[in-house]
Amino acid sequence: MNFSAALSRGTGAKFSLSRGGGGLWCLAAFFIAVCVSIPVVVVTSSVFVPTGEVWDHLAATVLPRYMLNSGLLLFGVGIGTFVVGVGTAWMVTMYQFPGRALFEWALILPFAVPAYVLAYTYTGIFEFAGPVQSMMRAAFGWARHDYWFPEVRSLSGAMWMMTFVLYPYVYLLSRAAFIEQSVCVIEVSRTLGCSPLKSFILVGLPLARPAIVAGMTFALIETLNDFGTVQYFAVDTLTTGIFRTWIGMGEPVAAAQLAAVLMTFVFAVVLLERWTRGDRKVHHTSSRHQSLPRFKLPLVMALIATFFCFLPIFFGFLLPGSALIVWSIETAGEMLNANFITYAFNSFLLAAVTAALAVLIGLFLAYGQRLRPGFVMTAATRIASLGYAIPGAVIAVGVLIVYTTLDRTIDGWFKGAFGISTGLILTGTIAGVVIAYLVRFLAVSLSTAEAGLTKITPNMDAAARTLGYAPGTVLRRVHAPLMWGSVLTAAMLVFVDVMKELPATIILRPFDFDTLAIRAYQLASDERLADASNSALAIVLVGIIPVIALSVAIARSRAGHGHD
Amino acid sequence: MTTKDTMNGILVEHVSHQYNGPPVLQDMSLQVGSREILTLLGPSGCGKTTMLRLLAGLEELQEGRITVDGRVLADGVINVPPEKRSVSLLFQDFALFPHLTVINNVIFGLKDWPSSDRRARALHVLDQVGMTAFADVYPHQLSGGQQQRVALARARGPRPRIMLMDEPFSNLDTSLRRQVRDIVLWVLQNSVSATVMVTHDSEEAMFMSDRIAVVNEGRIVQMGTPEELYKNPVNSFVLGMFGEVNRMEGRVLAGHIETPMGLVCAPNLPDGAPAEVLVRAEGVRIDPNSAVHGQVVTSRMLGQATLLHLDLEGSNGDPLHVHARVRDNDRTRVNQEVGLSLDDQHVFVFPLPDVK
Repeated sequence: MNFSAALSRGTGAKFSLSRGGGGLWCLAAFFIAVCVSIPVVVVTSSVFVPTGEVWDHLAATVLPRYMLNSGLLLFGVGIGTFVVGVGTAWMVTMYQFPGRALFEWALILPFAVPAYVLAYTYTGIFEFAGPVQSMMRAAFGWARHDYWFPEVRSLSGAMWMMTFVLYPYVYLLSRAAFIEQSVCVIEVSRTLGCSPLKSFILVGLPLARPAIVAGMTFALIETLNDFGTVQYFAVDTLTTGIFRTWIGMGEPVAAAQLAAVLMTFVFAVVLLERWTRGDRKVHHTSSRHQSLPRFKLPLVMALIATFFCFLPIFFGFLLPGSALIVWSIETAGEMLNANFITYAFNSFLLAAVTAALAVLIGLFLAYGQRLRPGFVMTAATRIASLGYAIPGAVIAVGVLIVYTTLDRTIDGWFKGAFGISTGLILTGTIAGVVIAYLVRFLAVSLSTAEAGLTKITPNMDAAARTLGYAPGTVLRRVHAPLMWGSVLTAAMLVFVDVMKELPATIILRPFDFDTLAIRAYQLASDERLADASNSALAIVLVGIIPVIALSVAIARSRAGHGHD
Repeated sequence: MTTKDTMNGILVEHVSHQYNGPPVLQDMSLQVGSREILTLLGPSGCGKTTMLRLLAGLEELQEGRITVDGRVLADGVINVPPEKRSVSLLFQDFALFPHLTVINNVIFGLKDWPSSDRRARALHVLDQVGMTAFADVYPHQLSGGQQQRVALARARGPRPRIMLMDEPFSNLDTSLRRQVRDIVLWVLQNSVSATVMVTHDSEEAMFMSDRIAVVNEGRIVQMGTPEELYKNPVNSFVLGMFGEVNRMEGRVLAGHIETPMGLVCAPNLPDGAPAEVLVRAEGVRIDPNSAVHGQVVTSRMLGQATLLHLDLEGSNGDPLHVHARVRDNDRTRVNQEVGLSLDDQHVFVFPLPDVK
């Protein structure tokens, strides 16, 4: 849920608060932008480094398969999230059926579950030795080859997993769009003789298209970012390829080149979004909103709607959640030991440090844009927001290449100058992984801070100043209380994202530094799915916090009503 | 003017200002007495809001001088920050602090008052605007009109020397606007602030102001009492700011201009000079004895007056569409031919640049 910017609409400030000056502020912002863009620049420039036969070998053997699998995955998840996300969004905004109010917020619950956790859980439930197949064999007296059962650990399985956890992006954005277009246009189309369904296809869908495409873009970027699921399902994609080339084959440059190929996929997705949007910007012709009079469905249709909305919640949250709880209780005695506390503490440490830094930098950039608007600040904030589109594996590769070089330089310099070795002070500590997280999640805190700032109109500043308060006091008396909520939200979102992050953590963590996510990944890789459940459940439980916050916000917010 | 008058109130001298581009204000000078309400009236983008921000100190003065009660607030070197100017602002969007209750919004501005008096003072100004009952309510629970009344109370609380209002009524709907306007005028007339208001609505400007300065493209076009501006506009721009006009063009011939609505006097213009003739809608009268005729296309009763849409035969045989605002509607029928004459008070002739 790293797209508060897409959900909130900013109000342009007519006048800036002050003009001129601010060289230092701009310089610092420029520095941040450079730091954020370094990994991408490094990865992109690796394309020009000759690697000879390694790359030829990759290109001739595995690269086509990587690209095909990544492409198919994008295609499947695209269709899946579209159908589930848009379908449920339309139903809960336009129709009245049993459970509607509950579904409206419950549909985002799967957000709490990382795709790789879903993958482990489903494998545990549906594999040959799992409870479902065992029960079927016991009930019907079948043996191994007597029946057909879909293979969870497959490309189509990965599509399902990701669809179930990523559709909320599409759901949230298209729901917001449906609410926003609201009565006026839909009612006009009804009075012009269109049925509700026809109104949806002819009016609702085209109007919401930018929002739907934006939601799908978020989902597809996350699909490309995924490592845990495809790795566990042994589906060879570009992401797993990067890991295999780097860690398995020890070829950093070739890995960086694969990362560059992955980046072209990301850019293709982003460009596709731009292109489909084109200049067909949809403007709402009316700003009047009122709560929708929902169309009451006949009984059979209503039950179908209830069923349709229940399915994604069941498969994306209830089923895996209950399985995790059951396994956690079974294995608690064995797994909840001192080591578990260490993993939890490590996760907490990384998440808290990153969240604090991300919020500070986000606030710094957001205020810079407000106080010193101009080309440098705009460019810096845009670049700083780019990281979110970049897969964790790509960032990790870029960060590692840069900081290994830096580490060696620093170490060499200290040895030469003082005769002491500093060791690997960047890549050998959590500094490296925190920097990678910052690159990837800065957009989250930045957009939240920006959204918070737009609620404080420049006129409020002017009012406070003329009422006798100096700028610093205005910050304390007006901004701080009004921004507090946004700051907490930003910190929470980054915190949870870091808790769930897997690919960058695997590559960049210091030796023997295990987090909950790493632990779940390792145990699952060792086929100890039940043992992985404690760590996975902890991640899901933390992930629920922002989801609940978001649900509350959804329940409260109605277009045309208050914005607070 | 006596020395005392020039000492009190706002004095703006030769202020020019620009952002990154063409000048927004050019050599603007004005004076507002300590109990006076001056309105800057002009279309959007004419620079009037910038003037207000310069007065408040929210924008740094580039050229000229701003003095209040004899004290220089800004002259390009000195620049007193807004918090030290004793100014209050009233905004179009009210700008109440959403995290404070109504009374705390008002108390927020009373930081220089002894803490024991603050609550009483806040309640007093809230009472002036009739909002005491909402003291403990949060701003988002109030209607727009109520929010603006609270904003007014907040602005009045510290007894500012200068009161600045930026389109204060434009976010309110018509009936609320009348009511809030009335309260604001009453409160301001019982205070000793020099008030500068900015608006694009001439009716509002006339309702509120002692004097009006019509601003266009960063310059003051004309300044005077509402009556002076209404009766003696210096050009068509000022005239156009105050109500609907019918416009015709012609050339001067022997001190007169021939128009589709009859001969109009142009005593001060040379023969052959091109000129525009502007007639307010209220300057077109129905006159059965007139030789000029027009056909009534539509008639709409607007309360005190009736607006007639008339078709006349224009100078080149083209039809001319004219609006007339008449008092009584008894004698007019749609599609009827009526005689028309002009009321000289509402007829204005301005020279046009000669294109030949």
